[in-house]
Amino acid sequence: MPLLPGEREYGTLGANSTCFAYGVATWCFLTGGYVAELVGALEGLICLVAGNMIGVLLASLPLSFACQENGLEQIDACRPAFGPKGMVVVLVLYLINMIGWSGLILVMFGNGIRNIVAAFGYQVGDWIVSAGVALGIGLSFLVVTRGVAMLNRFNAIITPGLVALVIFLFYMLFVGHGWEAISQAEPLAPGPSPLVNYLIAVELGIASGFSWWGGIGFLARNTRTRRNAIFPEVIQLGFSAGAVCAAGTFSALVVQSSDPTEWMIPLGGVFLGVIALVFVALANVTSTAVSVYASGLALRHLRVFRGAQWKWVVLAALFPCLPFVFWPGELSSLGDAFLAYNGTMYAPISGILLVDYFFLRRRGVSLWSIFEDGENGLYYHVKGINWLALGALLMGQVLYVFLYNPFSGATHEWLRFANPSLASFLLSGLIYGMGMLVLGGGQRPDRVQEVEPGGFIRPNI
Amino acid sequence: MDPNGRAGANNRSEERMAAQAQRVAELEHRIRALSELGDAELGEFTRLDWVLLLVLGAAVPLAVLYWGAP
Repeated sequence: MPLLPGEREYGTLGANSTCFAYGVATWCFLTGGYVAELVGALEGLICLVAGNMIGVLLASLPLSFACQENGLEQIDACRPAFGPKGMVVVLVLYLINMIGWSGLILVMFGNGIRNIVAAFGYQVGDWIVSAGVALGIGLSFLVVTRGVAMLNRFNAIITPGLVALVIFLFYMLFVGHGWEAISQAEPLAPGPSPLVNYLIAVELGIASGFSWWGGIGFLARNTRTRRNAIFPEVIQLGFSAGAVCAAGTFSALVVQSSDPTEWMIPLGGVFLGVIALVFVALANVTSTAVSVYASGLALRHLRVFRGAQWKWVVLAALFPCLPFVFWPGELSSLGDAFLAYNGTMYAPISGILLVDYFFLRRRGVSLWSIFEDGENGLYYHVKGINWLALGALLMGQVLYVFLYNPFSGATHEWLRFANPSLASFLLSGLIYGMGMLVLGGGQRPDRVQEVEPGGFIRPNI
Repeated sequence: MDPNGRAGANNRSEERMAAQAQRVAELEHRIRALSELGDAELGEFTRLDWVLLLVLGAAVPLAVLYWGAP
């Protein structure tokens, strides 16, 4: 259901604090650790903060305005461009993003348990990581099935604690080691070319910004004004979250490990380190729960889950995390590739949505047609799918992988001139915009009437 | 065939249809209300906001990235 202005929770303070709370999560530490493999502290700081801000801006531009002005969730905001069936592709990519993050954080939870046990002098096998992932899945299920109130209660404790943890990390780094030691620490596993390392780190920063795509619509539709829909996202999800990621990079460089659960004891000593580790483990459960909750809401867009009990929807969202129980090490080693893959997924989608909402539809969409699955809807396209949008999305992804393949690590020499996320954002937007103009005989779609007659044939709620 | 079971199933089906009709009516009400909103209710976004947003979110970060390259 689209949200009415009276139901929206966030003014300026609320939007900023919620974006900040959303931004400061344990996945920031993972991102910081991945960047530390490539570059040093100053370059990491620049890539993460500046890259994150650019990624968040490009993901937010179309979504924030479309979701705030129409009270829509981001998946519904994709319907005009992709069609009622075509948007299932976006939904699948969104679920891959959420499940991937959930799995990586669950492995971090399992690693945290192993390191807590090790701090007490017990050496256990890798089975404890698998057991931790299974336990994390169970705890997430318990939290999420108790609803958003339980989730908010957990977050009210965890978020201030995470802020304290970041301050603790900065304090231990700067007081215990100093900027000179941090800035001179060598990257963990750099490639032969410093420029290519930097360009990949820039890409990881931008992809990290794009990875907030899944939360942007939810935040924007809950704001009362347009300014509050976008500025807090760029400042908090972009700048603040980038700074938290940088704290992760500094820690990884000093400890010489990209695993966040290995930072706390060397930096803070056994007593404070174990307390911090326990806290990180708890924070991982809430981060997973937020991610699974969002996945559950997304699954509700599919007809099969629309009337299902919430616990079954949550189970369906958690089910794809099961491989992380059996292969935690193998799957988490793909984490940096997965982070870059966020750019592969969301950069072209954002380019398409930007052109669609601002250029083609001039910020006017038909809510009647967005919630209409029948052929009479304006956004039905061809059999419910806008093949042009899917083609443009595919071309953007191909260009991304051509410039930088996140799974093999291969780069093309053109990477020096074109950032993969920005290039695929531009290419997909361009193909989609030009294609729609050609299909429309050189004309943009007609403006939506201010007051439409309304009525549904096949409503999709 | 159990006649009570069939009646129960029919009741559940009617309840589902009634709930669906209620959701559609609520959606129609919301769409009509949202269609009437303008800058006064949704907040304005001026040219100055656009300039500030693009400088803050794109121009400055791009300049910093360029400056920081090895």
